[in-house]
Amino acid sequence: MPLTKAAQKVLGQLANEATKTVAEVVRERGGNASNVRKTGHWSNKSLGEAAEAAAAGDESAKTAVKIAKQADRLGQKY
Amino acid sequence: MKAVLDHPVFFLPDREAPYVLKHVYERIVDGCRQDMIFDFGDSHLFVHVDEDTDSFVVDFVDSVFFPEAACSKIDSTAPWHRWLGKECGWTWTAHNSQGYLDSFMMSFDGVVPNVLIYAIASSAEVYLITPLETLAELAARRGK
Repeated sequence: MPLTKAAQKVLGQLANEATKTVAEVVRERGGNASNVRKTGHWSNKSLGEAAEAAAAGDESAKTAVKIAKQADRLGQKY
Repeated sequence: MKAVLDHPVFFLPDREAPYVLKHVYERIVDGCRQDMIFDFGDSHLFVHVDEDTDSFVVDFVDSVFFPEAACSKIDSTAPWHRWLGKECGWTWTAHNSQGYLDSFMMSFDGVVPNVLIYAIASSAEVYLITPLETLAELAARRGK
């Protein structure tokens, strides 16, 4: 099922990865087990499902999406 | 690893004249608060959420802000109404442990932070900062 516009907006460029599980996306983007754990029960669900729930206001889904986006840690700047 | 940034982020350039908050605007796109504009009359702070990284891009613009039709003025909504006409005191920026600038704080009419703005799921979320003592006092009043 195609993503709603709101869910697409929530995901940004990650909308292309919507059919993968949250855990897969986190891992592929360089995240570790700790990052996957922080996505909670969303880890085994698709990123698209998490985005739809986030768009509907689900706080844990918002967190899961954010962790997926930021799984790739930026270079050590400090 | 250093404890402080080599180049700290200053949202508002140092100047003699106060940055008095005149208006606050937001732009909602597909249900997400994508932009916020803090209008100081002669200048403004443009806050944008990068939807690809859930981090902020913040620009100080040293000119008058002319709102587009897609911008909504939120002066009369909480919490902003209480700070209109007040000086923006200090600002704070925070990079999270992943290295992203995803939150900042602002104070109005003082240098104690009043509000925290956090980027998540392509949207800027606004949190009020309240001292624990104040919360306890409010809870006690409600309990009476």
